Amino acid sequence: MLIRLKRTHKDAICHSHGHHPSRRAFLQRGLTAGIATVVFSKTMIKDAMAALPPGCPQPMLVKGALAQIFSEGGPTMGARFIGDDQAASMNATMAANYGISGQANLVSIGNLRVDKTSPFGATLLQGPPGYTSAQWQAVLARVSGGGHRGQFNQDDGGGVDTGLLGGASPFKSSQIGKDIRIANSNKLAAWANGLPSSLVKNATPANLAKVFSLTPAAGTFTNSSSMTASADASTALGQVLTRVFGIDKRKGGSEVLGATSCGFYGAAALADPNYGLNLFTPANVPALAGIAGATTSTDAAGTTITNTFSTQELALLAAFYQSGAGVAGGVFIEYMGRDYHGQDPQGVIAPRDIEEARAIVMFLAACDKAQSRGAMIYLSNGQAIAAGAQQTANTIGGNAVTLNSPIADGDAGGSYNAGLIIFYDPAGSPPAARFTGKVDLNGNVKIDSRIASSRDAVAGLYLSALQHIGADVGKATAAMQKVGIASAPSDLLLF
Amino acid sequence: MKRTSPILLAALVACLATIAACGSAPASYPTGTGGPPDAGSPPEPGTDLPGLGSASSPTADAVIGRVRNTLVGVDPLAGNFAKAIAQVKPNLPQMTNPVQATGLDQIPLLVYAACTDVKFAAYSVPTTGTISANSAALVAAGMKMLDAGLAGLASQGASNGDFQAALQALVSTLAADKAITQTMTTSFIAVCMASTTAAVSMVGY
Repeated sequence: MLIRLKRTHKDAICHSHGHHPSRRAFLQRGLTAGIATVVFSKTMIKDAMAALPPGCPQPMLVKGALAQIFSEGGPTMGARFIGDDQAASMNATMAANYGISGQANLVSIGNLRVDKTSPFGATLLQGPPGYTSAQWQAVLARVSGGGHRGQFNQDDGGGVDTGLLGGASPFKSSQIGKDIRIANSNKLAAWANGLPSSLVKNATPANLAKVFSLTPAAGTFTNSSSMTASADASTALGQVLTRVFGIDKRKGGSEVLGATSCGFYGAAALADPNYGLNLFTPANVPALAGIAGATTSTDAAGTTITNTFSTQELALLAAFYQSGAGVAGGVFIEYMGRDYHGQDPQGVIAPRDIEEARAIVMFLAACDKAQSRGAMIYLSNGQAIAAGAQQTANTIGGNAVTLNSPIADGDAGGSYNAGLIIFYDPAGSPPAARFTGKVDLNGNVKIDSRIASSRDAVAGLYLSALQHIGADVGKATAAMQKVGIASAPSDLLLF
Repeated sequence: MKRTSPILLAALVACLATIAACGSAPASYPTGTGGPPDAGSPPEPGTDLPGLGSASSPTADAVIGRVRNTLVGVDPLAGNFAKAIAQVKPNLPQMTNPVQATGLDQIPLLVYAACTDVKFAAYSVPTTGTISANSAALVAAGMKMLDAGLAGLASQGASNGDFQAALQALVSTLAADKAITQTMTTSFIAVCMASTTAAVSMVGY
């Protein structure tokens, strides 16, 4: 018996799958399903594989200071840090070529030597405001150094754009995920291009704070919560745009999206109106507050001397500290106009040597206060040859001193220069770093054959710095190898 | 005997000659003669785009110009936008190379300043009331900003729903924020920042 059921149009729509389809209908459904499967699965895969911003580096408070001074021009690099081997073979000719007073005045800072009567050496030995001589000597005892000699021998500013400035983020993790650049105007190393950073022209606490704050201040306009939600939405919109414009299939598309998106998330911290000021005003940093207002220190004899911070020094102290404490990546300073030859020893050369040495003092003090490891790279693109030294009257932090300043009388391309690095270890065990290249009795250098160019030397200095502070050397090496550098990293490393 | 018309013969020869000439293209053309007349049909528009070429990064001037185009009533020479340009411009991207450009992270900071200059009324968004009640207005404002920056693509393209969904999710998140009570001001700024940042710097050019 056949039971007939009453069927409505709803049944036809909702239960049509129960019918045996005709051949034509079967084929039609198959084609439709096939196309739909291909189209939808492709869309879904596209969604999943879309140029999602690469994982933003997670904010991490990892201790370790990294910094660089690029002394642009051609200073008397030989009158700054000197290696053990140079010190041992120091003679009158070499001392005159370097612009120092001679072997008798060389004193040790770890495995390094400085002329204690030179502007550079005297400044390092005096130390920062707020330290006694004994306290500062203890800091200096935790320092070692090394370098790649040669490669930077250019005359009159030549080679200034050969990529002598590096970068630290994201190889070095930090809370803000970016480096601080001060007056950087020349080309970065190829592997450092595109690394996140913020630039100020002049180092002052106010200038640095501005870069890390919102205009207008957050107040009624925003807060960290709404900023993060906005970053989420912007990233989601970016993913839609990726699909629309095929950004994921275009070279660099993911990098652009990732950098913007990650930067947006980082901006949430700036919703605190005091964020920048608290980072870069030493008086507001608890670990630095004790020395921020200091105006004196003591000398080796225990006598109190004038020693005050300049505004620039306060900014550097705070920036280096934030690098050491893990808030910021690295701090990279370029000092322009260091072409010394023919310049006045008292009016130009000594003040500039003092300025750079004070920056190193601030770096070491910051590492000490942050109780962090630190590595500071110190190089120039040129070298001035000297005709000995002359007595000059100068001030170091307001303290009047008599110094033996280099008489830089010519360019010395092809003679001596070095990419230097100093290491600091709060535990007092800095690495036994080496120097590459050999120095002859005139003070000239023969370059190590494995360090073929300044870009190799810069890469080696950075790998050494990153290794010392425990950063991601593998990631940095990969970035360098991508641009044809550091195929044999061990040749470049200094320890 | 039937004879073939000389006119037909001439036509046949002409056709054969034409076919022969078409079939045997010269192996090469001397330089300067303009090359072959036509190598075939051009590719369908857009078929050569995926996977080819490079994205590019907007440079500082492009960023400032796009923000101005995207937001109603902002002036790079006045207000918070002008102040932020003075501070941020040196840190904005200076090159278009997407791999080497730095400073993209500064774009949201500049956009924030510009958003604080925007009048709510320009987007028909009330300054008071609850976020939930004004959800549609906030989403519409975000869509209007996206459209201004993307030549209408957000509301007219196939991904219209996806754009709206992203903005709706933002507004819902803000309405439900338990950590901080969000206001219409913070919500409008958040929508403005999300839309403008995306339109200015997340388009791959």
